[in-house]
Amino acid sequence: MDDPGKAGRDASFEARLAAARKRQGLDEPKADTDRPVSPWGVGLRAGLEVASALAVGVGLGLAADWWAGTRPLFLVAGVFLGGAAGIVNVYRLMLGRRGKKDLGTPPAA
Amino acid sequence: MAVEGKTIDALSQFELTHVAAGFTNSNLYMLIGGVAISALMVLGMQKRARVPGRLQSLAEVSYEFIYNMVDEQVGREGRKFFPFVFTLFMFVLFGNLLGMLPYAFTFTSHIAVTFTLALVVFILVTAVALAIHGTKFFSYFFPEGAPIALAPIIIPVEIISYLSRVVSLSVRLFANMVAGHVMLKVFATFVVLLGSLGVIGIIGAAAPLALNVALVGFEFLVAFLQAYVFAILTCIYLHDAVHLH
Repeated sequence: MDDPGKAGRDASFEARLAAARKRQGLDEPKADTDRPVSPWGVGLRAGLEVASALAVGVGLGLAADWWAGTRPLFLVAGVFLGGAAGIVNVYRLMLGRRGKKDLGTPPAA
Repeated sequence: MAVEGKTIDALSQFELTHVAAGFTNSNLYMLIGGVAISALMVLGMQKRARVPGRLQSLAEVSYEFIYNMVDEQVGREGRKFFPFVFTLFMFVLFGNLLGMLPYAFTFTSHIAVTFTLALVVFILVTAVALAIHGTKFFSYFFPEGAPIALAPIIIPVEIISYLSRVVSLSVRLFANMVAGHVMLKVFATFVVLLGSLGVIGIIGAAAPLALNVALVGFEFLVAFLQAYVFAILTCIYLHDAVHLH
């Protein structure tokens, strides 16, 4: 959208447009877009992340048991690992995008 | 809003064979959605007017919206995924919106459909990550600097966390569409049941009717929001695949 080689007349227009946009609050910096804003949204999103990780853990556990014939050994492990993965998912969700890099350090602010 | 008796069933007149899966009303509305999207883009952009009309505006706004989203979330190298994300967004959006028409069938309210869409995203993201990073992709499952002793715990947890994306992506869309439409139906049933009770019933039926009007508006919000969420999560997963961490 920004065209560097513009005439002075256009530059003044751009400046006025930017000022008008600022007045109307159109240029507000956007928050992390993948995070829900309402309390209900946060709760449902976090719950879904935990539940889906748990479901995958249980599913993998059952599948491994079915394959190895060791029921309920892998199922038990899958429940715990799935639960842990759910917690990791929620932790990442709350950290936002910058925090995805390393799991070890808590958010700075 | 699937009306009573309009649950998923094969439209016998369109059934190709009796052995293979029939052509269902879910398929029919997917086809209608695809035709509507194509019509919007082709007919809307036919004039190529400098000052766009209403239809052209709609086509341009939806195009630019997704284009900017991909650009912001994935980055410049993510632009080649724009057609994929745009198709996905429009398909989900039209599925949600078509479902708001009376007598229509909401195909996004079926886990089979949303799970397939999520699986397509998941396979694409994994393939992109493998193609760009090769075996380095597997370092995604073990964060740098973590003690080796914890590997037996961290690696399964990371793999489960990665796999759970498919489930959460599909269940989010499916659950939102089902919950809204079930609520609409429940309150619509209250209207009918109370309305059959005579004068007092008709007065009483005004409350669920008013609630249903509000719910329809809310459902339109959810239709757009869930299509947006599906698209933006696809972008975020693509970002992870392109940049790995």
